[in-house]
Amino acid sequence: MITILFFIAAAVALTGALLTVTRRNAVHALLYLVITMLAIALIFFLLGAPFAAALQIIVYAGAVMVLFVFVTMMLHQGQASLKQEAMLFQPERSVGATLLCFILLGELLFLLSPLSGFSDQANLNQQQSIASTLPNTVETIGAKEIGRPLFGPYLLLVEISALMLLSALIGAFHIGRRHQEKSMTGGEDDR
Amino acid sequence: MIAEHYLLFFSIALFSIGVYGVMVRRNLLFMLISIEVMLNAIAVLFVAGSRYHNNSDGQIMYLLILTLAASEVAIGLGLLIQLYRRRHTLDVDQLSKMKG
Amino acid sequence: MMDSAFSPAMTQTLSNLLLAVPMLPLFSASVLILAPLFSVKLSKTVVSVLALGSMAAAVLCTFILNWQFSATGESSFSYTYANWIQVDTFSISFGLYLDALSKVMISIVTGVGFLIHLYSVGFMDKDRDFQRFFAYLNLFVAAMLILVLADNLLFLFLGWEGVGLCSFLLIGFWHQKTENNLAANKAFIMTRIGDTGMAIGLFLLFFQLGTLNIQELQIRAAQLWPLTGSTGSGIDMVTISCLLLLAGAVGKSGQLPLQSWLPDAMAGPTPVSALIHAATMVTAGVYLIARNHGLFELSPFAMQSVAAIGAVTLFLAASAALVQHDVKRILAYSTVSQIGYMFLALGAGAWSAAVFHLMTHAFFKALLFLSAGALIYSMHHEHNIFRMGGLARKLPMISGCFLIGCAALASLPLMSGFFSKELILEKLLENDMPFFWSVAIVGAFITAFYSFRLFFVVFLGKPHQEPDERPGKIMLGPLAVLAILAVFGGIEPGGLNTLFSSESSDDVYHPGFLITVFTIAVPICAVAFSWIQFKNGVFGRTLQSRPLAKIHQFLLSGWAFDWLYQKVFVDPFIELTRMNRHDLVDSFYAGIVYVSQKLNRLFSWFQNGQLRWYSSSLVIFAVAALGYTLVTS
Repeated sequence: MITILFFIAAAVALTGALLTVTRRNAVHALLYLVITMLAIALIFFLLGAPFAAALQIIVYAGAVMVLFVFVTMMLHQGQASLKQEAMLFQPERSVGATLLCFILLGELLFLLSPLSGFSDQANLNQQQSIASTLPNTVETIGAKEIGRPLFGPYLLLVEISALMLLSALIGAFHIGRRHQEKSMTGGEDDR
Repeated sequence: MIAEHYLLFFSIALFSIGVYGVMVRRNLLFMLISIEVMLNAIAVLFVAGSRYHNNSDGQIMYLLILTLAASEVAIGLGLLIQLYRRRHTLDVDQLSKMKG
Repeated sequence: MMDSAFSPAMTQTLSNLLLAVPMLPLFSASVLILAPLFSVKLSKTVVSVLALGSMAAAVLCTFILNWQFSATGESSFSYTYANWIQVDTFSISFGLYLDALSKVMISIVTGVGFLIHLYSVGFMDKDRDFQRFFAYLNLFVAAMLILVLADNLLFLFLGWEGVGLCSFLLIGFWHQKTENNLAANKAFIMTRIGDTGMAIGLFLLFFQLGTLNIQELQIRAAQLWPLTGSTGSGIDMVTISCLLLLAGAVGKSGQLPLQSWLPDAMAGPTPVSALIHAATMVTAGVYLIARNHGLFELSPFAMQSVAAIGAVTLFLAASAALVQHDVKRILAYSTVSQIGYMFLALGAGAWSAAVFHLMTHAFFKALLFLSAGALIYSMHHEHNIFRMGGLARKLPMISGCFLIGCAALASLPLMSGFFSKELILEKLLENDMPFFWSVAIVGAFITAFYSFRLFFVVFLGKPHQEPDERPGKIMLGPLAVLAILAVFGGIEPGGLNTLFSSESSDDVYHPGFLITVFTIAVPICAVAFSWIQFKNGVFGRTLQSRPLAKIHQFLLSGWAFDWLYQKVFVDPFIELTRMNRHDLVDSFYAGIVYVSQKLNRLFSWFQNGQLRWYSSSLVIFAVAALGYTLVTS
């Protein structure tokens, strides 16, 4: 049951991702990305990580994507943008990239499959996967289990991530500002 | 229970879709979006790892990935806006002044 | 090394005097050189006083040394002033050594040097570079004095190089004209070739004998390579070292095969030619061999080489002087020829005769050069003797000096040159070298012939040009003194015979009466023959027959040595450098540059600024690395 749900969610996520990277309209791409994220949140639920799933929806799909949408709205110029994007993205001309990605995918899959000597599943004595050793009920790892290490061994991590967020805040504020002409950058030479 | 290799395969596939997007798209905004896809793929990997090792480390890592993604998006979009204001184009092929 | 036979007070006095002799000119030279660096302008009077004063003081010190020395009756004095190099067993000191030989040399150098300095004050009076001239001249005298007083070969070599440098500086004194610079280069390079041989000889001597102190060296050499008495002219170690030292002497003294720089060195001012290329520097080679006589005596082959070189050069230069038309070139070739005589004497083992001839030659050659300088000065810088004539009446003083000089050069009886040359001829017969004796006789004939050819053409006959200036008293004074010395200086310096103890004066050789008359008659006949030719107008006439003209050309160019060296050495070298135009060694480095530039271009091609290219390269590398791990697992 869970596996079937997982397959459905995975299919949705993969399709969403594929559609994201191939749309010409930026807003469409963003919306597909949101769908992908929601599917991933479902997968998290299925994995017994409700806290992570919640965070995925609230923060990722709710804040980061909204940020994307805002900026896209600022830069999107309707038909002109669509025509421009049509010029920029021509999948038939990117055979090399496609090929490369397929090769990458193939290699990684091969590495992780039982065929190669790397995977733990190569020892054919153990036909069972780790998953089967676990009990059938899903033990969720909730907020408490996450919170305790955060205040314990991973305390420094929290501080550092706070610093990172602060610097990102200041940086984004400064970078996105409208600079006056006579400030640091004088006239730039356009090519 | 979900067999772990399914999750691995899924994560890898999502990741390579993201890589494809980064390589193929010429619009800077779409490249950022594809990077988001990649980040999500890795997040899935970590949380799956947390499940299969039965502790919360993976999810803490996921927390950090989230933080990272958020800051990166903020700054990246800020740069995007600034770039658009100055160059009036988001075509990365034309934004190649740092050559040589 | 201190000579213990002297009392400490005497030692102190002698050592101070001895040090003063080279140091006074050196001090004066350094003041004259350094003054412009400190922006101190010295007037001509100050310069003259300084230069002349230091030379006069050196003469005085030499005189006092002579006097004190002869009062004590010792034979040698040596003093070490400071240590120069001290490395393991190799120790060289700044030491000076005084004996009969070096006494003679310093007397000549300081005496004749002082007279020439005096002359130069008048000669260079109108020259712009008055101070520079005297700086170089004093520096030269200081280096020459170091050369003759040094007690070890390395210190001698220091003086040797110093005189070479000053010769270069002084030949090219009027450096605004290119040919003067070329002549200076030629002199320096050719003497350099000799100096290299000498340096290798020094290395060899030190390696074999462990010391470079001259007296010590000869003692050890006699122990290490005893003269076995066999007439073996084999090439052994002592012969090689002697030949290498001979190479240095040949270069510096302008003998075969390095003789062609001396005639060209006449591009320098006449006092320079007088001092350096007649009286002092060119005799350094003779001094070197005389100083190391103990070493040379151990190698019969080297002695024969010295004599052979002397004989051939003597003849070559005399025949070349026969046809020259530039007065200074005649004198230059004559210098080469007379030094050939000295080498011949050295090769025959007649050490004191050679040094005696050196002394008299210094007198009359300096006299001749200075008179030539006065002559040229009076004849508005005319050098060609065939454009002069009949000047005996117009320039009596100069013609008188020339007459005395030419007579001494021709070794007419009772002149100083007569005594020294006769002594050499005697010694040649005494040591059983009849072939060399005959060469010397022929040379004497030719010498007398061309010296009086010079005199007759310039001073007798029809005048072609009028002199427009008369030389001043300051130029005539030294001329007079030198003339007196050229006449009366034929007294063999005492002590030389006892110094070169190998020639025992037990059995004094008396050549037969006929031979003596013959040797006296030869120059007189030559003078008469020259007079006849002059009266017949042979001199200066263009030759009609082709073969004679060819011979004339051959002799005029000094036996075509310049042409030979050009063909053998210079042209192939230029050809080689032309082939190596793109510099083989440099092309290695150019290759490195080329490779790194290519690599740079390759790597910067990777940095094309295209973001998608960067991301693609990341992915490509990831794919390649994964593929590699998969394949090799």
